Parts: sequence; structure tokens; C-alpha cells
Amino acid sequence: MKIKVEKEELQRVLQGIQGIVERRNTMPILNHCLFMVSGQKTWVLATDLEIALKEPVKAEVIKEGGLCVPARKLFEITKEVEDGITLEAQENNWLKVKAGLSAFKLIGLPEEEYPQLPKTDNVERIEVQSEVLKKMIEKTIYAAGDSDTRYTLNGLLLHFIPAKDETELRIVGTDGHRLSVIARMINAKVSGEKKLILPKKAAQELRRLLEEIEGMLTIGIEKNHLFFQLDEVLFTSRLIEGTYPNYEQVIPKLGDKKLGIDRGLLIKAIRRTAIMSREKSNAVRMDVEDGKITMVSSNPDIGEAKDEVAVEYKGEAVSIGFNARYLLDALLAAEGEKVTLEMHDALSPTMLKDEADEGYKNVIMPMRI
Amino acid sequence: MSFKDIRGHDGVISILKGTIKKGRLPNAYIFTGQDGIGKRLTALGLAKALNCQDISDDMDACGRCPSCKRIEKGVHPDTLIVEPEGGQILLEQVRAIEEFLSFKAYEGGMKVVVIDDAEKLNPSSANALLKTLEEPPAGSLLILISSIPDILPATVVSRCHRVNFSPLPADDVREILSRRFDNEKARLLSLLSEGRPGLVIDGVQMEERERFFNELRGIEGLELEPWKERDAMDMWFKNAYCLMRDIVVYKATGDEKLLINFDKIAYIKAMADRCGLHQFLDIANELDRITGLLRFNLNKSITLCYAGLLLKTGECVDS
Repeated sequence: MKIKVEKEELQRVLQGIQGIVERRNTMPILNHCLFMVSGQKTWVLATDLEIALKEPVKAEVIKEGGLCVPARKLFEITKEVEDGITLEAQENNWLKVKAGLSAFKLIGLPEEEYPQLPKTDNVERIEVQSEVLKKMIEKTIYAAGDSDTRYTLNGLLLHFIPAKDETELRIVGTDGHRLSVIARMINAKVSGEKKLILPKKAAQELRRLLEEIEGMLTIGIEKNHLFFQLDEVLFTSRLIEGTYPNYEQVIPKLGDKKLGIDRGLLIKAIRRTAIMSREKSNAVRMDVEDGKITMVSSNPDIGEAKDEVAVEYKGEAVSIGFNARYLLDALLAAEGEKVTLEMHDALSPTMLKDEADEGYKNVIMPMRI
Repeated sequence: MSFKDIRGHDGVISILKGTIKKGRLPNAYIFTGQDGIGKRLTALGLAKALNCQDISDDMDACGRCPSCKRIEKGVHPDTLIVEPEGGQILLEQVRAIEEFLSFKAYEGGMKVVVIDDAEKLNPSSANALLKTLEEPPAGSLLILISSIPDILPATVVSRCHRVNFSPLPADDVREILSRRFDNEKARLLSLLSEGRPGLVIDGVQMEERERFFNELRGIEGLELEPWKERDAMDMWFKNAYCLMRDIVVYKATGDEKLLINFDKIAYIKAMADRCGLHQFLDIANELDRITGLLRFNLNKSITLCYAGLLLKTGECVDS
């Protein structure tokens, strides 16, 4: 293998895979990325066995071949050297890196030892606008669990529901205390209803990737993996085993007290009130009456806070406690000027809806105060 | 190593093959039996058979496909081998197992977790493992390996399907050893191994035995170094007992062919002349008694002095 590549291009590609290769080092080979050169094309493949990314590199091919290269070291070298880098494989899996007057030799590993990408033979394909998928992930990912022992919660549920000529895609995230679900119609067909759990790390990495590229994205669905292909970039993720909790059951139907509130004002009021309870429970209490919400928080060691927001509401008064973080996450992910809170009583889940996005729902469990 | 390369466990292997064939694998196995008889090899053989891309009709792995090769090298993405770290299997390791099993199989076969020396699970790790043992995620198999399963909590053992391994017949041990050593050495090692080829194959046992005999020759007058680790102490007593056995056998029969340490015949003959048969039997019994106590943190230097004295005088101190 021998290629000539511009510094900027190599740095961009290696930067993009650092997040994948650095994570674990249980297997030495996973600290490496694989360079594959065939025809006039060069590819870089990185994986941590959970997610994998295969990206094309714009490079001048001098000799074909493949080699596993320590990704971190090559990235460090690339950052420091002059432009015009030549990568050349040598005997016993050595890699020679030359740029200007600098020369490096790196110990590599043979191509065959790199974990193979999952096969894409039996894959069902669906096309989605990358922009749509990115939004959907952004609006649900914060609710997904982090290293929860209920492993299915450490991911986002991708629920495909066939509907006439289209497909409804719902993405759900929950950590057991709050849940967010977003639904979109996609102009594509699936063979049947599917529930797949995408690990949270993979969702984060995918979101980062989608920020850089735009256009139609192909989602490939396989028994154990999901594939995302955009132009020549291929991103794959392993799925989480198990059954996702029945999220539809959690969505409250009892929300008889509907409150229309200005989103910006509510965010500000919650932020102010939460200052007093931030260190401990992060709890704020909302006292709802005709036309206004009074927000209260207190900490016996520090003091108290009280704030008021105007609200479109007429009816019975209710008092409910929340974790301010959960409310803020949901409010910040919403986009409309106004949001609706649907409550029942102090111990029932409350639903937060975005005026600008009908398919977007947040369910938040109250706190006992 | 595939099933076909494993010697001496035909019964166990045919049962394992049967469960693969019928697709009736349990959630978890516990492989029990003495150290060094091939439990881990069999576990890896099972992992290979469950992941092999070119499995034979009698449910044995091919040993040549990429999947088999990766398991052999320890780099298979769906096979995890867990070993004690610093004498224990820690809670984090159990959490890592849970995370490993929470994903779907990378290559589409079975996810196999092998927990070697499972008796080293500390109480909290063992408890954390219970949930996974009872209901592992789909497509997973746990294999616990232990030479002393009785010290594992009953809650763990009862959740596993127990498979017992026995020491190997001498011929099988010799065949395994002759793959690596010349004839004479293979014969000696197979006698020393007591049917556990894994114990002698790394040569440590051989070195320890040499040292034991060298020390013994110099035992008169020479200050003995107490052992640094329990393993070395165990081995020393094993060697001492084995020597007594040879002396007793030689004294009783006079037949050199029955000896284990046949290369040390001159020394054994010299020792044998020093006392009577009964005294040697007493020494052997006393050594055996101490061996049984080794697990209870004996003071190393006192133990050594006492045992050295036993061998030197050839007289049993009345206990």
C-alpha cells in the first residue's frame, strides 16, 4: 500500500474516527484503524465492535493494499507535519510516513486481523432525509439512560410502523423517569413493524456525523445491525438485545388540565427557581391556579426562590413537583413559541407538547414534594 | 483447538455436541474438575463450534474459518474470556459481562462468555451475576470454570448446568505431551502430571521439581529459603509427597519401573536405605496432613523447617 494525501484531508478523516477508536482498549487491534486501498480508492475503517465507520479518503493511489495503523499516533503525527503526506506499507506491517523532511515508522498490524464489517447482504433499505433523522435524534437522545442496568434503556428505540404507502418512524428515549417520543412520516416502505434499539453512543456518534453531511440517507436494517449510508460514508451500529418497554402505555391519557405557556418565559422562570435547589434534588414546585403558575424551590441550608409565569388556564388549582433538569431538557429540545403542559394530579405523569411539532411528546414523572 | 483435538473427555464432548445439535443449550454451564485437565480448552471448543462458519455434521468446529481463528487468537468479537484480576473477579468485570451480552451478536453466532477460575468471584460479583445467569439476553451462553466449585455460592452453582471433568488417562496425557516434548521427557511429565497435562505443559512443575531435589541434597547444613507464594508451597509438598511415594514403592517392591521420579533413581535408592518402610510411611502421612492444612495460612518458615526436618531425619515427630 502506498498513497499520497493532503494533510488537511487526512487530519479531517482521522479526527472523525478518534471518538470511535479511543473508547476501549480491551483488544489492541481496536486502537487501530484500517487503511484499504484498491483501484483508485482509499478507505479508512474504524470500529470499537459496537459502532463502525467507513469513510473515503481523497488520496493519490500509488500502490494498492491494506494495513492496520495506530489511529491515535497517526493523528498526532498528521497534526504536526508539513503538507503532502505519503503513507507507505513496508515489510512486517511497518508503516512509513513521510512529509517534507520528516519521516516516521509506525508498527502496524496485518489487514486480516481487523474485525470485518458486518455483511450487508440481507438488508432492508429505507431512505430518510438526513436532516429529519438528525432532528429526531436530537429531540430524544437526552432522555435515554446512561449505563442503566436495564440495558435496553441505554439506547433509542427506532420503531418502524408501516402505514399505506409510507412508514411512520417513531424514535423513543427514556430513562425511567422521563420519556420523549417523536414521530415522523417517511416516504418509504418497510416489510413489517420493527422495533430496534440503537445504543446511545451510536446515536451520539451518528448525530455528530449528520451535522457534517446533508442529503438522502439510506438506513439498512439487518437482524443484528443497523447501517447508515450517505454517499460513500458508511456507519454501522450493533443493536441492543432485548425488548424495549412498552412506551405507549406510559403516555398519559388523563391530562385533563391543559396549560398553554410561553416556552421562553417558562425556561427562564425554571432556571431562576432551580438555582436554590440545584445542589440537592433539583426540585421545583409548580402551583397552578387560574392564569398563573407560581414556581417555588427551597433549600434549608441556602434559602428560597419564588417566581411567576402567566399561563392560559382556567380550572381547579393543582400543585406538582418536578425535577427542573427534566423540564428544561424537554423545553430546550422543543422549538415552538408555545408549549402545552397536560397534567392530572400531583402524582400522575405530566405530558409536555410542542406547539410547533405535533409528533413530539415528552412525558415527565412528578416528584413528591 | 476444536473438539476433535481434545483428548480424554469424549463423554463430556459427546454430551455437549448433542445439546448443540438439538439446540437445547442451557443458559449457563459450570465446568468442574481439577486444574489442568482441559476445561478451558473444551469451553473454547464449544465457543468455536457455536460460532463456526463451516461446522461439520457431528457438530465440531472446522478450526480453519476466520471465526475459529479469531477465537483461537482471543480476538473474536462475540467471545469474552474473564479471568481474576489480582486474585478476584471484580464487580466491574461482571458489569462488563452484562454490557457485553446486552448487544446483539456481532457476527451473528452465539455470544459466549467464559469465566475462568469462577470460584474467585467475590461475594458481590457473584450476586451481581445471578440475574444474568438466570436470564441471559437472547443468544448468549455463559461458561463458568472452576476447580473448587464448592466454595462458590449455591445460588450460582444451582443456576448452571454442571459438567464434571475427570483427570486424563496416562496414555492421553503422554500423547498430548509428546506433541511438545521428546519421548523420555513426555514419559516423565505424564507420570508427574497425575492426569493433568495442563499443570506440566508450561515446564514450571519441572523446574520446581529440579529445585526441590537440589534443595533437598543440600538440606543438611544449608539454610532453606521459605516460599514466597502459596503455589510454590503447594508444589513443594507435592514433590515431597511424590518422593516419599517413590521411596515407599521402591522399598516395598524393589521395582524401578514403578517409580515416578525414575530419573532420580540413585537418590531414591540412597534415601531408601536410611530408614525403614514404616518410618517413610509415617513421613508420607505427616506430609499429607500438612498439605491438607496449607490453605489455612500456615507460617511459611515454620512449616518449611518442620517439613525439612521430617525429610532430613527420616523420623516422624510425634504430633
